[in-house]
Amino acid sequence: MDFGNKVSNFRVSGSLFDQDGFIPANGYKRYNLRISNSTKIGKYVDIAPAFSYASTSNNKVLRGASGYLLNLLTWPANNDIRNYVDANGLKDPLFNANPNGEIDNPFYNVYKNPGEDKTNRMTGTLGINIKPFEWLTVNGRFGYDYYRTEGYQQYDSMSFYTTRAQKGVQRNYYTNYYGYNHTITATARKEFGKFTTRLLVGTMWQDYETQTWSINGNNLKSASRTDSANTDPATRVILFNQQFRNGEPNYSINRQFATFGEAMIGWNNAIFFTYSHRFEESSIFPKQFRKYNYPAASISMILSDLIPEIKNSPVSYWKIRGSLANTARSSSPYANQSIFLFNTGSGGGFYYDFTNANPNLQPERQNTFELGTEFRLFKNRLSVDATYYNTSNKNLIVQNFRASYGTGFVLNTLNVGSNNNQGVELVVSLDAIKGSDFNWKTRFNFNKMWNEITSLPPNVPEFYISDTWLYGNARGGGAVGLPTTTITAYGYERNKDGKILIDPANGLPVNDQVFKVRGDRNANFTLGWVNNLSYKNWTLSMLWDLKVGGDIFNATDDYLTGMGRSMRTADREVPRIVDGILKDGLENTDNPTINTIVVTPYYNNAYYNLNMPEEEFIQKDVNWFRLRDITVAYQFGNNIRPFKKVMKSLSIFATVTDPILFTNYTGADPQVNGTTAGSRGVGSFGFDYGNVGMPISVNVGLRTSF
Amino acid sequence: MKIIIPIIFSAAVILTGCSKMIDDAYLSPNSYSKVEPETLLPQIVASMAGNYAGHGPLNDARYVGAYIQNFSFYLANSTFDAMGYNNGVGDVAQSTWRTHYYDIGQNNQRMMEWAAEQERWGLVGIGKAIEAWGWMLVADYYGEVIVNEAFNTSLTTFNYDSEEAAYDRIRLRAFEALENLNKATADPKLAEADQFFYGGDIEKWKKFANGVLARYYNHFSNKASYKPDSAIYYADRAMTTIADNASVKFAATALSATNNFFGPLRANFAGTTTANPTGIRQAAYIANMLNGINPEFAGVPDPRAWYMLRGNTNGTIVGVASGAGQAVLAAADRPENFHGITQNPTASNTSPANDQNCRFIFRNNSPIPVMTAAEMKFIKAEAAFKKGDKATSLQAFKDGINSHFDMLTTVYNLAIPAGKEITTANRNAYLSNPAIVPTDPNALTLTKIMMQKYIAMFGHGILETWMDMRRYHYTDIDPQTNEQVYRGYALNIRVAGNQPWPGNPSAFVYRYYPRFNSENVWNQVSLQKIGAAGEGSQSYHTKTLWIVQP
Repeated sequence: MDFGNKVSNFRVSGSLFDQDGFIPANGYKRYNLRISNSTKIGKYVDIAPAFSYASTSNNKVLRGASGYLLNLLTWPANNDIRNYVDANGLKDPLFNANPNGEIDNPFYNVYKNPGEDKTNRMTGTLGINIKPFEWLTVNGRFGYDYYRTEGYQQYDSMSFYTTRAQKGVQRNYYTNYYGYNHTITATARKEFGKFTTRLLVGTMWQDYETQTWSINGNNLKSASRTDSANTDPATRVILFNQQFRNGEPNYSINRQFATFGEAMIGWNNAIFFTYSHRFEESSIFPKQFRKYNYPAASISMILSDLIPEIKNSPVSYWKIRGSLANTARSSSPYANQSIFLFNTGSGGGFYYDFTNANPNLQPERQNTFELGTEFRLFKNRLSVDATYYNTSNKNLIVQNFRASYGTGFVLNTLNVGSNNNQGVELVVSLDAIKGSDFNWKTRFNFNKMWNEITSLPPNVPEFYISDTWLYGNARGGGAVGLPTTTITAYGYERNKDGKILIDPANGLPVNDQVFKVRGDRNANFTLGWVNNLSYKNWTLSMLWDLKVGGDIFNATDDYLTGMGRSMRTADREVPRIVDGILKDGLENTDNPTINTIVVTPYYNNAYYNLNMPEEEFIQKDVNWFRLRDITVAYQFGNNIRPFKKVMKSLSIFATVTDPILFTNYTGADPQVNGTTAGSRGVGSFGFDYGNVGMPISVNVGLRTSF
Repeated sequence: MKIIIPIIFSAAVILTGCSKMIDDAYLSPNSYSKVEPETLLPQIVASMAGNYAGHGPLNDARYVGAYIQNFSFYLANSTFDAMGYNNGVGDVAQSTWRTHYYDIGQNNQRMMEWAAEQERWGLVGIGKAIEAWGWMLVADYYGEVIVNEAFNTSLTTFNYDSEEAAYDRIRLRAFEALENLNKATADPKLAEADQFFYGGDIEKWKKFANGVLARYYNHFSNKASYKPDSAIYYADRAMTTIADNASVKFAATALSATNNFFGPLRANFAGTTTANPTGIRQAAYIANMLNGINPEFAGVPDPRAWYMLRGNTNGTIVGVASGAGQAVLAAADRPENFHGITQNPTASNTSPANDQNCRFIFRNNSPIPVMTAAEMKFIKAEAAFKKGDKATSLQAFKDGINSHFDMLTTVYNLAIPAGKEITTANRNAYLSNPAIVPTDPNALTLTKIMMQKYIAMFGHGILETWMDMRRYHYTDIDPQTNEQVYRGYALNIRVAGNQPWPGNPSAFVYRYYPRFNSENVWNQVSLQKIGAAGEGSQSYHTKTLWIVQP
């Protein structure tokens, strides 16, 4: 809704969104209100204040390691899964006299272990633009952001995830966030003949504060209550700020001040050179390392303007560009402060905790250079944009790794690692058919990336991302000279020819219980393919996605194999001889003993558990070709559109997401991420543990404007 | 311009305001990252015996006590009775490393740094004295250790320095300690912080620093550079009476961390495997010195015996022979364990371990001596003897024995069986027995000095006694008497299966392996350079220390 006059303009918008997930007890609601204004004051000044409020509530179910999916896959097929409670509404165990000792029926899991997050968020922004002279503009952006999330997670007293003594567990928590930032810039522009110049100076200030608090208790008074008084006071543990024990939350405060400048000079609108420099001061670092700065520069040339002859060829436009940038990234607050714990021994006082949070910690540094070119051919019907980038990260902060006690501590947080990331991106767009009624535009997006860990602490043979260690003995580990995306895991012990070694005592493979690199999650390349077709008022758009290569650790299969629910175990009663060489001392000679020991897994479950290493579950070279989404839309023409006076436009559309997937992956969906996208580093893509495949969803809608 | 001037002005205001706000947000509001320096002292001094987590010299003394035969494992063929070692993930007998580098480590460095900022030189001096003591602790236990790169928080691997470098560091820190202690000013907060050691008495801390120097000069006894006068000089300036004794004390509340590591509540004497033997009894070697069986004390029972050791159902003092296990003794001869539990299956058992029934350093609140006046007297006796000043030596020798008697009758006169008390009569009788204390200075022998010192250091001074015995290579012969200096000391070197310990079929143990989970796992390359890991490292523990070499 817009209203106002020439000087001041108001806009009010609101939305309501209510979604029930395809999993029972899973849902999402959002209310949203936004008021904005823009007002011109006098001749030189514009102000644009805005305020918005959003309220969301998210009913959550347990996922991943203790989620409903693994329960569902494990559940016996001969049991009616819908009967998840008995006549009294209690858990009805299948085998175990103790209900806590048996995994939850997936329905029981989602209905009886509820969780919810409620968030209220308010943001206020103010933009001020002042243009006192033709050549000068001063812009100010001021933002204030506040939100509070309150939530709980409850575990039923009979759930597998609690013990009988606990009588149910409930955790309540809140997070408050207060953020303020402003950026003020002054930009001067001036032209001198063929030269254009721009000079920008600015300052930035940010003050972000997060407060987190959580309390955990047992012995629920009622399964229907969710407030924190629902637990037995004697069992309650405040999980944050235990040290001061004053009931206050854990604080994370991050303040940063920056000044920056950028100078640009252009010639004839064909060559542009930009240099910028940023000076920062961050509260995360102690005084001596608090101030740091970094430069950046870029150059671009439109060759087709500089050399007009080019335009005589099919090439209508050609630009080349290059840039160099250096940026700094700070650690999380307080990671450079070793903390003291209370001495419980005689005399009290304090002693240092195990971690050497190095006070000399410095910001991580990133150096990037990028080269690119863009050209258009055949009257702009074909365009190509190619980029090569090379990013080196230095001084990477590695947290809580072990080293000699020579530091005076046991664990360490230091600037020690470095890595390098390179890649090529290529975008090709083509107006394949350009007609009056029928149009077809298509675009290919090619992406190839390769990276390498270039240094690690010399005493750390394998570095791993702890977020990726979800199940068994496989994790996102790596070593110097290897990519950052490798999987390290336990595997088979092999002889010099790579043959699997067999234990002569039982005929089962011998495991090599060392985390070695046994896979790489990085894809050989990915290719996106966008198609837009239109015929008169109809449009059809599709996004196809191709990924070639990249390994996946299928922990779900590993888990189910151990449980006897994977298809691997269907032939468990069939006797077999594991193909391999007996580890009898002759294994590395020219005449090793071929294994002839017969094993029947049905009588020896070590075949699937102890003696089947994680290596077996790393699927190599997983490819996919999938249709991400497809949309059909119809735009009502002026002549047939109803309510012409009120509506400016009207269209209807239908979108289907993830309808088609071709893959060689044996699990559910190869697009897996063991944790959330927000994990540090390269994250935990390629780790499949209790992941749900992307649901096919259909969206039908009406779009209009007034 | 009207607009630009206010912008520049407000920018200047913002700049200074922001720096202040940024500084305010630096320190963590969630936990203590800076504390008053004296509040670090209680844990540091506790680590000189055994701290909240059970780390300190007492922890390793349980194992080294078997090398020097203060202790024996109750089962036969124990690794440590056989001078073996355990170098694995359990970090057995490797607490000393952690004590020096972590438990005292940065806590002490920070205490000194912040105390110096506050110009509290007394507290700085205390820190330096403890650091000097700590360097001696690790140098004597491990030989080569990390010295120059120690406490560098930016390194990930650490080079080892020579033992000599560690020894230089001891002397340097001890002198710095005296320098700081000498300029100490009144520090009202020190008494409480130091209440479980010296109560903030700077004069006593000076004696402690002098005591470290007395030990330092005494350890050079095998070297050409040995300066007996220096040892005597510093011994004279160290503890002279039992009131000066440096000991760690305990609040001994219901919370186990506040109790003595050797006491029954903390129950640290219960290991049942031969590779990790903490099921410990008094060894025959010490028992025989006190019950008159050892030929040096032939037929002279020591009145101190019932203050230090345990009886049996026969009412006698008997020890378990090293490596033999208690089962070879008749049931009624088997000594009670240190917490008073009888080992005679037919006797009514006083278990569970009852603190009231424990004695000496084995009670929940027993003070644990770190350095005593008696030790200083014996250092003086040994140095004067070597110098040829037998008269001074004899006097110091008598003073040493007397000081030990004083300590036992004053501090440890608890739970002594009726009729077994030290009396003026039996004490005088012992001291005036010429077989024990000669009247002629020329009749004094090294054996007498070192064995009386051995008795006076029993239980709490194990690591220092280990240094003494290594200086005499365990079985060196006293040319004056043609007897071993440590008379009667013999090693039952056989381990399980009657095999010699793999690393040292004929050699004695001189050092221990640096802490497995610190060095073997995370500093392997440096460890290989000193020979404590990799090829041939299985006899590293028998490599003679630099300090005991000529």
